[in-house]
Amino acid sequence: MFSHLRIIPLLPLLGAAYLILFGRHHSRRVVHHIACMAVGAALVVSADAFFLGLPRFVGAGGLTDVVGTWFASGDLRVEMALRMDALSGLMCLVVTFVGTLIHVYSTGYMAHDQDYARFFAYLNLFCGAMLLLVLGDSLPVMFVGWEGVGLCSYLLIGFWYGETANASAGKKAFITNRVGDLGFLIGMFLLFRAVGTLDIPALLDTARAGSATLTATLWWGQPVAFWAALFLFLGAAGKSAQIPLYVWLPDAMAGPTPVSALIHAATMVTAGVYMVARLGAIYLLAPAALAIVAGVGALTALFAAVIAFGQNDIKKVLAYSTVSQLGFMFVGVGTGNFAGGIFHLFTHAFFKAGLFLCAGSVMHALAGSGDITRMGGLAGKLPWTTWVFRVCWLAICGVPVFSGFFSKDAIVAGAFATEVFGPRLAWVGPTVGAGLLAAALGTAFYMSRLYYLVFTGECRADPRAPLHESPIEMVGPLVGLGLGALLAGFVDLPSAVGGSHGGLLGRWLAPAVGPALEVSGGLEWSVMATSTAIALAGIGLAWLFFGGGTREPARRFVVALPRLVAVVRGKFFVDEIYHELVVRPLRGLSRALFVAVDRLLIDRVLVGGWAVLVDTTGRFLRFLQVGDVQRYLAVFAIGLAALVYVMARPAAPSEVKIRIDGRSAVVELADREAAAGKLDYGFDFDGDGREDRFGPIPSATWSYARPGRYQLHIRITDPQWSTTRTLDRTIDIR
Amino acid sequence: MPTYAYILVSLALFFIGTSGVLLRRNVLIVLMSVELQLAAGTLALLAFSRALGDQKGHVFAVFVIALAAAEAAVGLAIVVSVFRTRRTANLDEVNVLKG
Repeated sequence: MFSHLRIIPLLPLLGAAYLILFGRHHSRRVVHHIACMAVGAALVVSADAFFLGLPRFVGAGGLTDVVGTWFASGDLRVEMALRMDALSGLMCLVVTFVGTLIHVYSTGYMAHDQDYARFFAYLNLFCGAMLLLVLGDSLPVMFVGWEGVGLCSYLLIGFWYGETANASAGKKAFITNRVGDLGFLIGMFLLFRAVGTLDIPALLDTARAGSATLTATLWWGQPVAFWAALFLFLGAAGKSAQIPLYVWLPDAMAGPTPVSALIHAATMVTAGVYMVARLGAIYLLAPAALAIVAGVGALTALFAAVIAFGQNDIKKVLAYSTVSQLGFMFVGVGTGNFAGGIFHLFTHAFFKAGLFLCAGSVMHALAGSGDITRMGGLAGKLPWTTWVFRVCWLAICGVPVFSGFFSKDAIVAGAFATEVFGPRLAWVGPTVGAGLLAAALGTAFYMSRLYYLVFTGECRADPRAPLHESPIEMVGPLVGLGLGALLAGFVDLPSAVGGSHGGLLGRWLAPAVGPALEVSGGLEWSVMATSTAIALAGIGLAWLFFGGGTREPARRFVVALPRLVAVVRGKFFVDEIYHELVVRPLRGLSRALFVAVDRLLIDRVLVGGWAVLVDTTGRFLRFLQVGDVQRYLAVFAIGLAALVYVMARPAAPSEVKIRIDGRSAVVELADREAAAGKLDYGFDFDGDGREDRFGPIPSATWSYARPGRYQLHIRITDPQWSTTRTLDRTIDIR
Repeated sequence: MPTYAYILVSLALFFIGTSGVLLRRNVLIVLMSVELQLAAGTLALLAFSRALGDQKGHVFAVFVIALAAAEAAVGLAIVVSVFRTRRTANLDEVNVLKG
């Protein structure tokens, strides 16, 4: 069995470590060779494992590599284990393939950047973390990768930290993701409490067996599986930019374009989809959670598509497009159509990365400007970029033969055909399917608007811009991704078009995510026909409005419905609403805590208070320090006298206990002052002046011969100070 | 004479010495009072030595006398030094070390 999976994430991580430590001392050539080789080698190892090692073991759970026990505490035992099965192997391949292309592209795009080594170090670190996320065989390992990619996302969004906007975009991404991560953690805790393990295969086995540990009711009549799935989905919604946590992704475009392509389009943001697919068996136990996933996905797909209509920055349009497409994927996994969701993830990685890299190429040609109102007519100037953009555009619109067509249809058809929701929630499937068709119309419209405004008509760019096609190291990866966008759909043809049952990808993924959804041929045909019509309608509508530049109908539309246009352009003011509902109360609370706790309690009382106390005490004590030796001596003399008195004073009176038993008497002294053995005692029981008993023991016994009344004399001597005390008691013997 | 008589004298000497140390202002008188305190201690040592019939007290009395001589030498040296720098032998006026 192939047991060196650890090499795959380790290569980019080592590259990152080396570049962070020593990158500054190397020339750009050396830096990008190291970075590209690290990811390229990871691609080779992944491909080797995927194509040569995996097929024999795919039915048996894939390849595993246990590096060792990470930590063990009580019942919790977490192995540092990696697993490449059908699903994670595919993801691994996508990540390393797209990652390598984008590394190569970056050598051109970032060629003139100052922090060349830092950029590639982060990019490598990202690839390593993403591979760890994908390959991790237990939720904590996955979470390490999950946080690692979040960190890299933050670092790379704020890569040009000189501008405040970029730094705050990074912070926004990070903080928004923390909300999601909290959900991930809670989901993890719930699963551990219910099942007692965090190993993904064990969790999935428990879920597939329908174990009562997961189906037991937890809160509000819903089972453990529902709540765990829901909280995990909150994590997924943060990472994959779904409502309500999508707001960070459009701002994340502040980072360099290759970062947007790699992290914020092709790989990291799909981690949520991957996670839901990976834990699909748990979700299948809770149809309500699946319905929420699908509903949120459809809503996000539609909502983000509408926002994209009004965006004038090429990267912002693509960012909302990514949010929307991720919504498609969530509908895929949320309808139990895991293979469909992953299929779209797969094709999307190609065409969206391609679109972003084209955008980068365009911006490169326009000296960094991304304003589409200042573009146009670039088709002739940037031939390669234009062709790749066209392919990716048609792919995302869902025009037949291109990859997006097949994957989108797989999701839509799956939504109509799915039966995972059960009879009570059966309406969810068709509803989200219809929503997706509407979102697909929107997708075709805004993408075509983008294409027409950027590549057709008159050139509105600054005439001084150095319009030129990008260098070969940028065009090469573009072409690679364009070919992917063209051909990736053929890995999973619907059965209606000659694909055998379930398609290639569906059959391949079946061991990992369960058998592909059954879709009848008739449904497939009608969905394909509808979506083709919708794609063409969207493109046609966009041509009507924007073909060759903004046209008359578009202008009239803006004039006729100014309110609507303002709301769409303002992104439905979600950022502003969040600002009022979340940010401002939080700031107010922080401010109150700052004033009350930090400034008043800690600074004034706890820190300043001690200073005031010491200062005041000192102010009074300084009157004692007059510098007059004789006064010191007087105090000294008084102190000495007090000390002598304390040490030499007579011992405290002792308690005398007398027990009379018949004719014998037992005398005990409870001496609280001195420990036994320090004092000397003498007992005269009959009052004759002779001590009958003496010694260091504070008790004595005596038997009387006759009854009568006797005088008892007790002597207590302190040999150290030669002080003696006597006590007198009377004893009656009958 | 009984031992307590010696001890009473010793006590009286000691209190006179202590009063001198605490109340007099002239450094030389203070030093002389210290000598009185030491003499009181020496007397007590000798008295107990005689009462207990033990020669150790005598030995320590000789030590105390030697100590007193050394103390007087050092003390006078300090007094001279202080007088040279401050032109005074009055303890009230030597009070620089204060908070």
